[in-house]
This record gives sequence, structure tokens and C-alpha cells, in this order.
Amino acid sequence: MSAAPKVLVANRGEIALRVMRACRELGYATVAVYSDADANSRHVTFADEAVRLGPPPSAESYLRGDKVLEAALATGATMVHPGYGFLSENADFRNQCDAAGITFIGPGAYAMTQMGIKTLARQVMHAAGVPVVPGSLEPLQSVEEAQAIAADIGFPVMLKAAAGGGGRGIRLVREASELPAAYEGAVREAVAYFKDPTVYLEKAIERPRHVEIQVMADRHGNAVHLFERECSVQRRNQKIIEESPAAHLSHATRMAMGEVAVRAARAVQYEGAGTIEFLVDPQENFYFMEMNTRLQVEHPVTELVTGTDLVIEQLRVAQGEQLSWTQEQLSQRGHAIECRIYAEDASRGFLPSPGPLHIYRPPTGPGIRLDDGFCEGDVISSYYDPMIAKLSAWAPTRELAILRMCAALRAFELGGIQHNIEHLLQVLESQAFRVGPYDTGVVKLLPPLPTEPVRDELAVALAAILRHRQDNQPAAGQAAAESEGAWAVWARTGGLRGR
Amino acid sequence: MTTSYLVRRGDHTDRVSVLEDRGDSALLQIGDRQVVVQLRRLPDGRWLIRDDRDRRLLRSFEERGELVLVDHSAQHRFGVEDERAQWLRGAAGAHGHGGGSIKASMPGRVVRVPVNVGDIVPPQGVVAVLEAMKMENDVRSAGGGVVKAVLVREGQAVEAGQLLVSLEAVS
Repeated sequence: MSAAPKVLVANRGEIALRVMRACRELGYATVAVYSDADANSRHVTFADEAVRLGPPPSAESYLRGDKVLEAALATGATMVHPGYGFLSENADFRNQCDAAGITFIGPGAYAMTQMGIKTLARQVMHAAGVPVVPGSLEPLQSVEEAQAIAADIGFPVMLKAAAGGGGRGIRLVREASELPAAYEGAVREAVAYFKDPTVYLEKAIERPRHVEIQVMADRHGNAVHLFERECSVQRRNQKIIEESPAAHLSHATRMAMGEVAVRAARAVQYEGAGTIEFLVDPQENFYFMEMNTRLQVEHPVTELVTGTDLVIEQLRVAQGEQLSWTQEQLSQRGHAIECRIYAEDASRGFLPSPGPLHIYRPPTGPGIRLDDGFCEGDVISSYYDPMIAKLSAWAPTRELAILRMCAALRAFELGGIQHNIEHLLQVLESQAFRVGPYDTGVVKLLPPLPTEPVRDELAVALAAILRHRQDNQPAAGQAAAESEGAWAVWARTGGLRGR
Repeated sequence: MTTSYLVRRGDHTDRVSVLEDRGDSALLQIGDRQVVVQLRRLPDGRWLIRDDRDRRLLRSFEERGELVLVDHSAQHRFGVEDERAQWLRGAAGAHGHGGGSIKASMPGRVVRVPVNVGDIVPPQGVVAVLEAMKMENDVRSAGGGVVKAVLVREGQAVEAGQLLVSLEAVS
């Protein structure tokens, strides 16, 4: 173990870059892996070395643990960072890394398995004294059993896939008559998405907030929490805006949740960075929902308010070092908000909008952080998650952080693909978000975005002028001598992109 | 002679004539109004255009035959057509209802093709299901028709604009 650290990052896009930047800061060599769709992407060009995994589909590339391991061995990588998604919560892959003598940056297979199976996680947490949502602790055996438990705890209830995650395989059941069909559907979906028919049942918490606690633990028995992230702004169960601290959470609840989260981490001998997700009801009762045994997409807001670097801490802890901070040394300073910018058409049912990023000029300024993995001219591929970038804003107060975020979103120059910036602004500017308290229903309260953007006369004028100059090209030289010929700009879009 | 352009954005079309172009300023007729704008191309490639009330910083590029102007996060996607071209097209006559080729609007993978040759598809009927970015999306025929040919298989990867199914108008 005296070899100089060399980290293979088994991921793509912004998170691969995020991890590699931390490695470079520490002087560790980096290895990228990529599919054919990503051969020229930023994480590949950034890394010291890069290894091809296979064709574009994830199942033939980023999910191929065997190929990732081969790449690690071939390049002499000492550690593998899985990022989030793909192999990050795959206990088999973790075991294969161990067997090959490569350090997997993340928790042990034990914690991953306990938390990966939702019914098992509920049992373990319940035993550790962590409040769980009332419902079935064991997997459901039949629809009759589901009826009995639902009648006991009261409708509405949620049916969930035991192997689920990412908002998939979840069904809301409002009354007993809906249960048989919902049960069948949930099982079918569980098989389709997770190849495991096991489902369980929970009481549906009315107007829940989704608040999660970041934890960090080392192998020496130290475990701390880094406070909460409020993740209730969701569309179709996918988070789109996260903030820390949560705007309307009492300090007592915050600290109680943190304490419980640390207890949960200890209960599974957790190591590294993890997140305990809770549902919080209007009375601030909170219930364990699940633990994500990896770095979270929204980790930047925690880093911004706590002044920490979670990836560097992951790298340290994975090499057997002690945590850099005690609980007493951690505190929240100011307020941070993160917005996820997706390639989707917000004015037309949020259809994915893959395609070329003809124009990509992100904003900058005091308190603005950008986590991205693309540059102008790149193509947003239809094979992967449509997230383009995460834009975060830090400011001394929540109010200023919102204003800063809105200004940054408006300054984001983005062209080619359709995106959700208008929708993000709509949320940030809504009374429900600004004043609060808001719950996971906040996005549904918003009116639909107009499908026809407002007519802009100056844009119409420019469109006609550019076309006119194109049609009268020989004469254009005299018209725009100083600006190098108007049509040149129009014809040679590449010149606008590469710089 | 001054050419008039039909500048279409979504459902709205403006008739615009460039009456005079002096490079750093231009006189235009937009609808029934005359408008003077000043414009300049900045070193970073953006166009600065202003009139007496307002100003914009816009980048331009061309995509799929459309001119796109980007004003920060807002995109203005224009079809700009020479007015004479439209007269010519108009003379060729409009198409009947139904029929036509159904193309993929985005790159993806064909999950299902629920129709076969000879099937009658109602207006707004689903002719294919495409998976893109982990989401399944229905591809519909606006006017419906009789399926003339199915050009893709289930599981096949398709590019944006690729022909999926062709339909014949119901007679």
C-alpha cells in the first residue's frame, strides 16, 4: 500500500470531473473510463489516462464492473471512486475491488447490502432506534397481507419496491379498493426496473418534506453529520432544487435528525460519505426513508455551508485516515442553493431534449459554483441522464442566496438543446418557495409554463437583418467591414462555439 | 427591390423588410411599423442590438434550417423565409389530411412499434415508442392514416430525423 495513489473514476460527466479535480489537488494521478458516446468528453480529456469501456448504452459500458476492474488493473489504479449512480451502490462490485486489492471509495459491502434492500434497511433502522415510517417491516407476501397492514395503519399508503430507488417503483394508494391493482402494478414495475418482485408498504405521510442528513464516518469509529439538505423541490420524484439549511426547520429538529443519522450510520458500521433521507411531516415528526451509500448529487450545498470538501474527505477516509473534524468543529454558515439544469423541454411536458450544446456560457460571480461536465459544442447524449450542470449559489442569507441564484440563472447562456431554466426560475420566484414552508407538492402548485415564449421584436429584427445580409452577401463587406462580415458569423457557427 | 421576409416563431409570423442596412444601424419595416435599430457585433461573437427603448445581447446559430438567437437562457427559434419562396410553395397546393412520414424527433432507441403494415392509425395514434434519456416517449401520427411501411425494428437505435413509419392518407 505504499504505491502513490492513483484513482480510477468509474463515472462520467460532472461528477467524474468533480472527483478528478479533488484528486489533482492532492497530486493523485487520475484514470477516466468512457463509453464510445463520451470518447471526447471533458472527463476523458481532463484525466491523466483514459480507458474505453464499450458502446454507449450504460449496460455495455459504465455498468460493466468487470471492464472497470480490468481498466483499474491495467492502469495500476490503487483506488476506484464510483461517483453516484452506475456502480456506486453495487456490493458485488465492491467485493470484486476488495478481491483485486483495489480500494473502493465508499462503504463496505455490509452497509451497502443492508441499506440497498429497503425492507432490510427498515428493520435495521427500527432496531437501532431510528424512527421509520409506519408500515410493513417484512416484504409483503400477498395482496391480502397488504390489505391487512394498510387497514391497520390507515390509508393513504405507499407501495414501494424493496430494491427501488431514484423515485421508481413507488405507488400511492388512497383507498382499499385501489390496492389490488396497485399491488400488481408495483410488483410488475419492481421486476421491470430492479429484477426483484419484493414490495413493501408504508403509511403515506401527508404533505411531507424531504430532508436529508449528510454523514461522514471513518473506520476508527468516528462518525459525524454535516447537517441537512432540504430536497422537497421535486418534479416526478426527481430533485431539482436543494438548499441548506432547510428554511423552516427548528434547530431542535435539525440536531435531533443529525443525531439519529449518526446513529443510523453506526448501526451499519458505515464508512465514508453517506446520506440519510427523512420524510418530515408538518409537525416536524421525521421518519427514516432510505440511506444512500454514496456521494450525493446535491453534496455541493453542504460543502458550501459547512466549508468542507466531501470528496477530499472521502479520499482520506478510504485510505484509513481519521475524520478531519469532530462534530463540535462543524457548523453551518450562510445559505446555499443548488439548481439542477436539465436538457428537457419544460414548456412541452419536460420531454428530454438531447442534442448539441451550440451555446454554453455558464455564469460566474461571487458565491457562484458550477459543477458541470460539458463544454460548448458537446452533444448531450440520449443514452444517459439529461443533467447538463449543477449551479449553486452561496450567500449570507437565504433571501440573498435566492436572488443570487436567480441572477445567475438569467445570465446562463445556453442554446441548442431545450432546458429547464425558466422552470427553475418559476420555482425560485414563487411565493410558496420564497415564503414557505413548502413540501414536496410545491412544484405541482405552479401554473404550466407558457408554450409560446413572448415575442421579442429586437430578436425578430436581428433575424431579418442576418438573413438579409446572407442573401446580399457580396455587398455585406461594405455594410459591416468592422465586424468581419455579418454573414461569416451566420455561416460559420463553429466559430462561435470553439474559442 | 426590397425583399420581405416572413419571420416565423412558433405560431406567430412577422412580415419584415430590411429597408436600409448601414452595417451599424438598419431601418426595418416590421408589420405596419418602421423601426430603427443599432447593432454591433462584439468581439466575443454576440450581437448587441438596440432600439430607442430596449437592448439585447444575442448569439446566433443555425440548426435544422432555423435561425436560433440566444438571449442568455431564452432561445428564439426562427424560421426565416423569403416571402417569394412561400408564394411558390403555396401554388403547389396544400396536403390533404392524414398520411405522411413519421420521424424520430430525438435520438434514442425503439422500444415498441405497436403498428403493422395495413393497420389504420387514428389521428394522434401512437406508431412507435422511443426511449431517450431513460424515459419512454410515445411517437404519434398527427393526422393518422394507413400504415404503408414500418422502417425500424424494436431495440434499434435511431437518430433524430430518422424515418420510423410511413402512413398513407385514408381515402
